[in-house]
Amino acid sequence: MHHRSASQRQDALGELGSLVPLAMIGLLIANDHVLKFVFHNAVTGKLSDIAICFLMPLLVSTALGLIAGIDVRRRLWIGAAVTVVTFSAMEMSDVAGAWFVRAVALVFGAKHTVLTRDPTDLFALLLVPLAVAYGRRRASIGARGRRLGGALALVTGSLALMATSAPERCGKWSPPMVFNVEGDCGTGGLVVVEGDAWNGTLTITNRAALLAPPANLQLTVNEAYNGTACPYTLDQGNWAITYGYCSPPAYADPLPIDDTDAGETDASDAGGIDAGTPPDGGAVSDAGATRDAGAPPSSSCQSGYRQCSATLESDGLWFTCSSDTSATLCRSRLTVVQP
Amino acid sequence: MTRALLLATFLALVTTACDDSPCTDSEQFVVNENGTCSSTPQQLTISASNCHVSLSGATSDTGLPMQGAMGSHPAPLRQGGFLLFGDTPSFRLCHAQRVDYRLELSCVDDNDAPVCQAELTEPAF
Repeated sequence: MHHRSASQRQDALGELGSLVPLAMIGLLIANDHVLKFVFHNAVTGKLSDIAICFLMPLLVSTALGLIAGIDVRRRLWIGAAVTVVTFSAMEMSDVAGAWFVRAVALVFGAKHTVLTRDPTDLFALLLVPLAVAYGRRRASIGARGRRLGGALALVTGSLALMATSAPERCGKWSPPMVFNVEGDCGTGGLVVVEGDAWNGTLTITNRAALLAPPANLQLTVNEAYNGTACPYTLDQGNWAITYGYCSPPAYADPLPIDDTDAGETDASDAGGIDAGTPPDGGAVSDAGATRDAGAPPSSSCQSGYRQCSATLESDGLWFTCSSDTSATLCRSRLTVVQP
Repeated sequence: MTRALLLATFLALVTTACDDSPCTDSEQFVVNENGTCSSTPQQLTISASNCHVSLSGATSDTGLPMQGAMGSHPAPLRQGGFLLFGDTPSFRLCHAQRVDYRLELSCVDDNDAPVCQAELTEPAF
């Protein structure tokens, strides 16, 4: 009986101690602690979710194998169910997110856990059945020799999962910077810019001197330090204020058609201009032309969108605002005020 | 061997969570405010926590921003070197310096023009 139990434990650890789960743990740690800060884009936003949805069923399954000695098939499906429920709740529910943050604070003492919530992250759940299939395959071929790697993966994977929300951006004190603003983006005068050590969010006192408030008060205001220095070097630029947002064109626009014949392109474009007229089936020879009716929208940005960046140029620090068409709207010069 | 490896991994991960804040100690003390920022002398409490500074407990308008932060070289509050700033009702920025036994705050408006000066001294008991 004892021998069987020990054997089951070794099997359970062996499932986790192989290349793919270890690579996923490496990906999770690298993405949360390096890639998100360096690139901070849609890809890094999804990488952790993919790693989590693959790792978590295997981690839960291994833990159940170690603790309760449940057979592999059952514990893998329990792991899958736990992952689906937990991940969905974290993505969809404020209450679940708050409980997770509280749990992380209790276990790790982390006071500034930040969860990002995006329903499209739920696509990562497609990795759950793959994890189950992978776990069953590992169990079928036997992998007892990998129990050390499995134990390592269990510990580091569990910690990495708990710490997967945004970690501290910069632990060093970044003092507020005082700038004198001269230009046409705002009223001009002194502003104080502070960067939040945990997520790089900026707090700008007397922002109207730097940038006029958005005409449309519904627009979100995003102020952030985008550089990699720690402490933040706000006097070197690399920070920005954005009013509103733009949807990625890849989601907003129809798929482009490979138009090798210029004549066909002209015809389809001409058809697209008359959007109010139902397409004449006899006149349209290419079905793709109907799909490509009209030019792609020139802008997928909210009305009133503007992106303003502080950039160090050859003659000093400049704050430049542009619209969604990249046209420069205004420029102001920033001079550091020494107290 | 396995246990040692696991323990080392755990410790390595835990230690990476340590921060490097120079302002971990909180402090708070009562001061008397005199000068041109406030219409009448009054008593208030000045506090510092995690490099942020705040004023509280004033019975009337201090003429000073109620929030601020340490400068580039954080030090105990009594040593000065911190900033108070705010934009309600209008922008005001005050720089604190230690002069003899007191803290002197020089405040400017959004045109960097001097607005007022305040002296903070600890009450004698």
